[in-house]
Amino acid sequence: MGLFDSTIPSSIDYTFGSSTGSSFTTSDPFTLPTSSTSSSSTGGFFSSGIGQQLASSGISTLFNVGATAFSSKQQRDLLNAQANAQAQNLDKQLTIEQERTRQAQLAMQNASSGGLVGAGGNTMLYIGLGIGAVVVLGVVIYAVTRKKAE
Amino acid sequence: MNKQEALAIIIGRTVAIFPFEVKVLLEKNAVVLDAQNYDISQLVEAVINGLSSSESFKNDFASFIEANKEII
Repeated sequence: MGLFDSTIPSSIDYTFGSSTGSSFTTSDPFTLPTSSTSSSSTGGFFSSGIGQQLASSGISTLFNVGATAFSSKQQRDLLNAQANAQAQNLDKQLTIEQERTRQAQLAMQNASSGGLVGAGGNTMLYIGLGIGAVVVLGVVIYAVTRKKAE
Repeated sequence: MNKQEALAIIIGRTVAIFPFEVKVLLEKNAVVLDAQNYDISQLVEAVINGLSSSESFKNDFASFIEANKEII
């Protein structure tokens, strides 16, 4: 049987691992045991609840009997809409997390350098230019005064 | 939760977390010719099309999820 064959066995017994010490048998081959645990936005789908059970029994078992999701255009459209919603939601969360991380890194850099880097990153440049200008001015004044003395 | 919902979560999360790798899988298995400019929704649609039409993509995608289930 291929991963996504549309043939549905007449009777199926699903045992999703031994975390609870019980096997889950259902007359509906496409209903997983109900659980209040759904995918967590931070913990990962396979880290708890149904996902953990699926992972322990083998992810291919999901693909083996999930073929009804692809059996008709209507089913595929529904799956597409659900998966798209999941992906968009997680993508937004990841973007927000990345931005928070970036801001935190900038804040740490600012704190460690006393505010001279990050948002005030040009401060050191201006200080260096100022010192350079003073040095150049001093050299010019020295040269002029020495010339006068000669 | 039914299997379709579980499938949707797995596909959605995989595409969101590993868009580059999914693009590579799609191109490698000739599901699409060039997926580099695909956005998230296009990738999801391409993955579902690939899962329903390409045996090699199904195998590769399942293996990829198995290998990265800690992250997904």
